[in-house]
Amino acid sequence: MASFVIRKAIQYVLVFAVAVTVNFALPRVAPGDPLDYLLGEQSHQLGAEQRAQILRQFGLDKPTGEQFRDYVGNLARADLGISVRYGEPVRSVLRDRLPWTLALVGTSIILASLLGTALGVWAAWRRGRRSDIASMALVMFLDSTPIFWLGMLLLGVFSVELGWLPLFGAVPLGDQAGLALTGEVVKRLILPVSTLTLATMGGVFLVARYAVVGTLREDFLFMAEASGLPTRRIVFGHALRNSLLPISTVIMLNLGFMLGGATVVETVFSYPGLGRLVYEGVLARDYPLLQGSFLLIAVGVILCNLVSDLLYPLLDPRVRRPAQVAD
Amino acid sequence: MTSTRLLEVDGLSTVYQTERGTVWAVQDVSFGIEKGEVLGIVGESGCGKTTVAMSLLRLIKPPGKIVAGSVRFDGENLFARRRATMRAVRGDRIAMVPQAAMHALDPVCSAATSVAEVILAHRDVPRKQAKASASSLLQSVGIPEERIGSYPHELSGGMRQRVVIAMALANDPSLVVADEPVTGLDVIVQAQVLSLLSDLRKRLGLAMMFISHDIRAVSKISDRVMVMYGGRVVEEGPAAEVVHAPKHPYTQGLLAAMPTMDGPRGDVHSIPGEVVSGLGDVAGCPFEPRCPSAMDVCSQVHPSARSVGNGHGAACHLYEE
Amino acid sequence: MTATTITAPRRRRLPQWPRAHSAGERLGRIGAVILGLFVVVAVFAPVLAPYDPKAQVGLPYQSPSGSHLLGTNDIGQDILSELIYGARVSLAIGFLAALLAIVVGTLVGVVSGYFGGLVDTLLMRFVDITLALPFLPLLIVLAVFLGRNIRTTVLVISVVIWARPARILRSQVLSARERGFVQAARAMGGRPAHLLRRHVLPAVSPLIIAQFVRAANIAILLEASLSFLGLGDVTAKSWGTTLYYASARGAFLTRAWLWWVLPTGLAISVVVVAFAFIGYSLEERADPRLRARRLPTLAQFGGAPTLAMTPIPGKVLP
Repeated sequence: MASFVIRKAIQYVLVFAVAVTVNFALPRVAPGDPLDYLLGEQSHQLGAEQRAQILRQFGLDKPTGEQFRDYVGNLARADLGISVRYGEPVRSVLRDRLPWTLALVGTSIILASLLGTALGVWAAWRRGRRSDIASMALVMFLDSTPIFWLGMLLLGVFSVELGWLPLFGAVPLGDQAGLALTGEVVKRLILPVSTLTLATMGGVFLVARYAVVGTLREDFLFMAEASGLPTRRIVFGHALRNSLLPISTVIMLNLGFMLGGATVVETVFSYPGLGRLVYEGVLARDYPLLQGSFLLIAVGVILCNLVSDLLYPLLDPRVRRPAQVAD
Repeated sequence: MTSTRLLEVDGLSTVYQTERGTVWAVQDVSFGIEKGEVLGIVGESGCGKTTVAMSLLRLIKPPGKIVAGSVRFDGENLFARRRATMRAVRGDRIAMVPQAAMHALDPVCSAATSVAEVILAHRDVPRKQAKASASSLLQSVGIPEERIGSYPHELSGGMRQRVVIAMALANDPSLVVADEPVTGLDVIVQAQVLSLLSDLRKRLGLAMMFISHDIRAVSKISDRVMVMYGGRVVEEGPAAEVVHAPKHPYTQGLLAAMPTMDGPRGDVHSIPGEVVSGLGDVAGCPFEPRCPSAMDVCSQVHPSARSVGNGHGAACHLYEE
Repeated sequence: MTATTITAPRRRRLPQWPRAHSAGERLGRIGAVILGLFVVVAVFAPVLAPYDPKAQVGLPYQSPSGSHLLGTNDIGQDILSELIYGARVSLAIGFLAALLAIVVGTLVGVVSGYFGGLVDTLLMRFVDITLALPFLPLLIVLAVFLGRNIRTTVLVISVVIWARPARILRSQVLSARERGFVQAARAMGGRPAHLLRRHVLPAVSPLIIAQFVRAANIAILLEASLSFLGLGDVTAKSWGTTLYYASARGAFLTRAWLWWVLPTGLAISVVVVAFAFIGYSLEERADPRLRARRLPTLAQFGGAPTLAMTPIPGKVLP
């Protein structure tokens, strides 16, 4: 078990290392002037001398190896550079936006997991009947829609057509405080959360259904029934519990996926989260911002994957205590 | 037909609706088991023996359906009970050791937990007590104390079988239905489990329904043996008699087909033909196509059970008088 | 008590097409038909589209009318024509990216699975790392720095999606390798290239095709997302790019979104669903495990599963 944890930890450290390297390497291998990528469009306005000066300032005149060491060193101190667009350290911009993304993704993952699991279990119970096939078709369709389009649809229907919900932002303009403010924030969360939830619950649904269907056929369920166990105990204590293994894995992975997908959702709804920063970085050619947010999102996804991997031994005794006795 | 028998099955018929028609898995099966008696049910795969067991416990699910017959257990008609109340009987008064028992254990539950759960389903006792009873039960079926908390994947096939047996015995049932309890185990382990069952039966005074395709294994432990073919009972009688002096051609064929270690060397016999599919109701004797002694009447009229000895009956036209 | 009635088999009219044996097959056919339709539209775009999508043929922001079935966009270009021509770009990029991803993924998966050992460990490490990175942000970062043209888009998408098929194919190769006749051939001294061609590849080719369909599925969605963020080739208008313009040029301020946003996105969804159906039926055929009773065990995936490795029928995105 310990070796399993260590192996996984090493693996994810490697992933992080790759992300860092990608971040470092890309501006330097990209076609064009590296200064473009570090300063944005303003670099065109600089004279040759200023360029040389800035190159020295950024350490770009040093050999690559040294640059990398500096870069990593900066990272270790959580120095992600200065945002061109905001004119402040990337780090503080990220810090401001992080809670919004957490709110969005956190709510969505809970909803998506609950709904997806409940629907999946129900569909598995009613396997083969019309309601099962209908729900599978619906989910397949939901899974196939581009997330951003789904968001646009919801926006169109609920904001433009029906005028029920606000069009963008997370916080209303004007002064509101306390409960009223909370109400406004919640109102603005509804559509983005709905989008993310609808887009990802399909995955949970399919895994839940598949897992429960597979488990329902297992002999130990028959044994439980033949032993006179109450139905509720059989479904929840045995069928669902065995299905929880893949379900919880998929939920954690969904979380990672959501962190990435939040980018488009936040863009559609102009929601001020981490994901939107990526887009802003792209638009404004603010590459430090872009890279900083990418790295933070990568870290988030890595953590989710790591937790998911670690969850499995906890839930499945077969992983925790591999059999030594041959059959 | 005494009414003091523990189990009394009369005219049981169970069908399965398939795309190609109705399959009569069990047809007009009647038998009884006394208190503390072991009845062995023998037959090839598909002859209906498992269906009989499942029908008894009303575990038949669509597309299967019990269409006729009655089952009296301890004087009570089980079929008259509401479905929901059958739960109280299963695992408490009638227990089942199902086929492929090795997979009958929940992989995320330890042996002790599995057994304790069966106790808790029927008895209102504190958890700790259930666990303690489970522990001693498991030890009494031969699981060493240090393995009681093991998970199924850590136990060998024979040990898993014992755990399942412990689960069946958890609430002191009067009748244990064992469906192929030793199939799939290697020979030595088979002998061990059989001896365990025999031992338990003596100690606890259990009645047992021992289902198997292996007539010799069955005969070692049973008081009476019932042979099934094509969903019907073809022969029934005291174990020793049925095995040493079989009357029905199918039983004779079964026994002849078993290679033995002792006795004179000879050819290995088999029964020609294939098992009947059971589709539709076949007029006449189901075994007729493969029977070496088949007569004209056999394909037209179904033979009813005839007495061929003391408490020994066979459904065959050969014993018409 | 003898039985009474025998239920006669129900009479069925003779079918005209060979009957599909399962829901999966039926779905696969529907998907193939839909996809076929889109391909036809894409190929015959110049014939089918009423106007040149790049030409200004009307007043901006017109609602649907007889001459412009889907109205016009902010510059006055016909949206329907955009939609039709967009099929070319989206489908082409999707196919090409998927093709590239599958070629690389198959190579890696087969080599890794067949030869095992250090090669396997190294390659799989690489695969795991790729799988663990957040795909959309990675896509964005790559696209930003490597350029916004079709070639880059195809390349960048393949980089992100090659890893999953690699893993799945490796599993398949592993099980194919252990099968009796392959072991026998090896024992007789068959050379790896020969064995691979004659035995292993036929065993995995159904899965390769299924994975290609899945990859195309994902590729189209990724391309749409990328273009929506303005990172695609803005001159070659894919469906995603159309939506980018729609969002950026105020489609949501009026009812224009109904005909600007809705049909284009619907087109994407329908194509992706079609792919999903096809992929589902192919996978059902290629891997009987999906029809099997038991859940795959961890061991079959060589470690704790990620979503990428769980065979979920119909699941589109990793």
